[in-house]
Amino acid sequence: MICTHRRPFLAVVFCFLLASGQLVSAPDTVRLGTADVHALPFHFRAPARGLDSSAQGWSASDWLHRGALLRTTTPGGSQLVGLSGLPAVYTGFHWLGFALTSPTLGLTDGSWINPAFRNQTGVHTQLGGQYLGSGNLGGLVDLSAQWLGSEGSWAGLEAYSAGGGGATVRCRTNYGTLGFWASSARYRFPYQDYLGTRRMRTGADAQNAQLEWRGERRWGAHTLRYGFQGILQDRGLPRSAASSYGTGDRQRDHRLHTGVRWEHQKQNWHWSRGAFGWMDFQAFDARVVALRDSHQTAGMRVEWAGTHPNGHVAWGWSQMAAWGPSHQTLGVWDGFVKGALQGTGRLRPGLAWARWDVRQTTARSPLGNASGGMRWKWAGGPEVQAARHFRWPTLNDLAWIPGGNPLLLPEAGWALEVHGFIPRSKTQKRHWGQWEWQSKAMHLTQSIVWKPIGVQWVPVNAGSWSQWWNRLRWTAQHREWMGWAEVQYTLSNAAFAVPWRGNAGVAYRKGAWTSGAEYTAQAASQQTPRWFTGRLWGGWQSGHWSVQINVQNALPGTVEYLPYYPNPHWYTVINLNYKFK
Amino acid sequence: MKNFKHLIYSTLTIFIASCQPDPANPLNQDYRNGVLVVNEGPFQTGTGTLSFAHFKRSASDSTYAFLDVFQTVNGRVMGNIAQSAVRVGNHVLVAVNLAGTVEMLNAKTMALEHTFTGLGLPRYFQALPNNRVALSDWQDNRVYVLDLNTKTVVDTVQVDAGPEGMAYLPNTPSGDVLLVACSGGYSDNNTVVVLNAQMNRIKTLTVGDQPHSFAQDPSGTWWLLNQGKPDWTTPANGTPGSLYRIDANALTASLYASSADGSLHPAHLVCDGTGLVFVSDRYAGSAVRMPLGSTVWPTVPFLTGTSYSVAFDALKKEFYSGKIVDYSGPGQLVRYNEQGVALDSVSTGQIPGFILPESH
Repeated sequence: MICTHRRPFLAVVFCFLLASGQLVSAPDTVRLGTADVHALPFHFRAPARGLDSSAQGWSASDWLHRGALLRTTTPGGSQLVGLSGLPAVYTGFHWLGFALTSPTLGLTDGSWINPAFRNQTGVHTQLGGQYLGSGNLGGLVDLSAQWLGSEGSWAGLEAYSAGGGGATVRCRTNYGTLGFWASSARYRFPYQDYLGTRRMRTGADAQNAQLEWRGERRWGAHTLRYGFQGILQDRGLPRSAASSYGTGDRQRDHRLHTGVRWEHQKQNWHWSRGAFGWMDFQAFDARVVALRDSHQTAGMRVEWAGTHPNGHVAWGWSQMAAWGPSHQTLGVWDGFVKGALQGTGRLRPGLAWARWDVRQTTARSPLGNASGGMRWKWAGGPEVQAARHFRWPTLNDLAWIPGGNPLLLPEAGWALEVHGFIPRSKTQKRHWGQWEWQSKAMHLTQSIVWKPIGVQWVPVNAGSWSQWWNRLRWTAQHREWMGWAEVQYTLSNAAFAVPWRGNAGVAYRKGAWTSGAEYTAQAASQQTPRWFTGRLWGGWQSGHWSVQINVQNALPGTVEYLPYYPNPHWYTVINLNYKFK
Repeated sequence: MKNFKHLIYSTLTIFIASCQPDPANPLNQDYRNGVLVVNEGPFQTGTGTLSFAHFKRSASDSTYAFLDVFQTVNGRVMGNIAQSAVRVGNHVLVAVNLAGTVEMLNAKTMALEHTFTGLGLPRYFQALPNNRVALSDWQDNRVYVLDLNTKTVVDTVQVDAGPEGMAYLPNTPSGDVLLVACSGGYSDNNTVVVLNAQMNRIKTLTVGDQPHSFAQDPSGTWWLLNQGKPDWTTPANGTPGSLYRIDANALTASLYASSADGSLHPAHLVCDGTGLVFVSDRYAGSAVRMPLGSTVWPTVPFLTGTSYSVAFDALKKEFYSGKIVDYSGPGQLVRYNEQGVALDSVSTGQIPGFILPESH
């Protein structure tokens, strides 16, 4: 068999990555059929299942644990997640194999993860931008790394010490899984403004409601997966602590995603066809200025792919419309065609090529981009990858009023990565644990920068940067104990670069009891302050019931991921869960 | 006797040294001997800064700069989006826009003397008699009067939308008056509000779109620069910038010259004694010069490069231009002679938006 019966869709997704050298599904074989979430680099998963917080979707701590750079103003604010030491615009989010990135902002909000499916989410930082399309240089967050997973049904309640609470229901049936999450948090907490005056943060509240269905049907060698996501968010954006005290703007997000993918196996070929539709709406209600700004897009995408043990071929097409007072109404279609070859033997080379094209129906300039990548993979050992990557301008870049620049070119560059494990294979465990190392050199030209030109700010292809990002992570497990530590070092000429970042933690499980602590520290960049934060957690589980308490930012001071946007000193999240049979 | 001579020499040396600025120590400066630059700082996630530049003018002197004297001296940041500054007696006032504050500093040491809080979106200052200062504020379209003796806001007056630059005209037939250019703020407006000494509105002048700043020439004539109204969709369809002449006796304003280019919107008017100098476009224009008496709108750059801010030191006969380098790092202050020839430059904080020359 080439691909597993259980998760052919996932196999295809990871075959994309495999063929282009992004992920290695197993240490000693590149048989595409072995691709599965369980083969993900283990460090990206929770330190120990059940020990992690399940509150608030993915909390800031969850992202920090996974080595991400995080930009958020408050616990309930947008979570802009950067991987490989890069800004969030270089992180791709996928669901059912389709990109979720907002075409207007070029970003995906990390707070869109429904906690009912949090354990089906995977994070990858290995190189794959050349094959996944625009804006994946930093890495990929796959919201459906497991479409259904092995997790059953459960329901949970949560309460936040900063005010508010939420409820999550995960309902597993023979036909699929329904996940619902609703929460309302006030996030009132004391902080000190730049004048040293103690204030109470207001206007940082967050209301969330998310409903998601994931269905699956199998017959013979065929699998049909389908689902939808609905997201409603209404959040307060606090004003900077270096500005006058007052309530900030409000941000509203309404999103609807729906998709279907049909896969089947025929001899050595695995075939996949998918369709995806979306609508998104985002609005900002400014407070200082009487300004309401909103934009919306709607579109659909279809894809077709065939995967063979020695290669892969795919094409796709999408049509989209964007409108709203903040930018010109326009239609966009894009298409891609791509192929990859996979060698055999002890030194297994891989070669990938892709061509992506974007055209605006308003007869503006085309944004075609050809990409390529190569990989050398030593059996069971390290791998070397090289790839050309690109990032298209966003719709705001192209059509914002005022200033949108329809003549922008895509950002483009090259990246080289080496990656491996000590011991050589990640499945070889030692009592002293395991090391994973990764080094990524990246160069980008035609960087899109907004600059004032003439009467208004205009995005232009004006910048370039080079960055060398390194990561070393250690993980060990001994009896009831688990420990991990990670350090990232970045050498860069980019203003966003964070030179140092460290994360370490320990978890303990004894019988029904669990506990742990984790700390993260980050050096200052030109744009962000240095910070140090940590969390403590403890839990108890017996039969169907479990209770867990998380203390976020368990430090005496505030933490600011963005300058002058303090998060609470510490706050507690209590979860009460009931697991159904 | 020999020891006594040594003592005298040593004392003289120390005395002379103490009179010289110390390029290495921002805590041992006389900040009246240089240029202050108000840097906006990053828009949402940062704080404004106050830079200081001292330029070499003798063989024993040296050029040096401090990027953030406010924080260095006072141990805290200044707040979000620093806007402008003014020297009044022994004080320097800095308006911090989104922080809604005015920082009152000792002009010599930069030590913080007082912080006026509770303001809205403060913009520009105009010195008044009796150690008082007028402050324009966008939030509720007000002009505040700050008393530096009592360190209080002693008066508040409502004007038209978006009050910007102001001019104080003493001894007009209507008495002392304050002209307030009302640009519209985040929208559009085209008026100048005339306030009397009691801060009562006595007249409203209709001028060009989005009036910004005033300057007075040596003959006593006042000039008003209007930015013009931008058209965000088709920039060329914007209303062009214009120059109005103010009749101080009649308190009237009349169109003097107008730009032909509706896509450019000038700002930061200064007078160098024989001409009017301003930035041809408020975001990324060049400093241009219009000789007094000419009615031809200038288009040829007078100071090299683009200027985000411009100032003229009337005593030293020097121009200063604030330049944005890349919006994420330090800016630059360039000094020019009276002919517009660049002399030297220093680094400043991020986005240098206002320059306060030494003799102002």
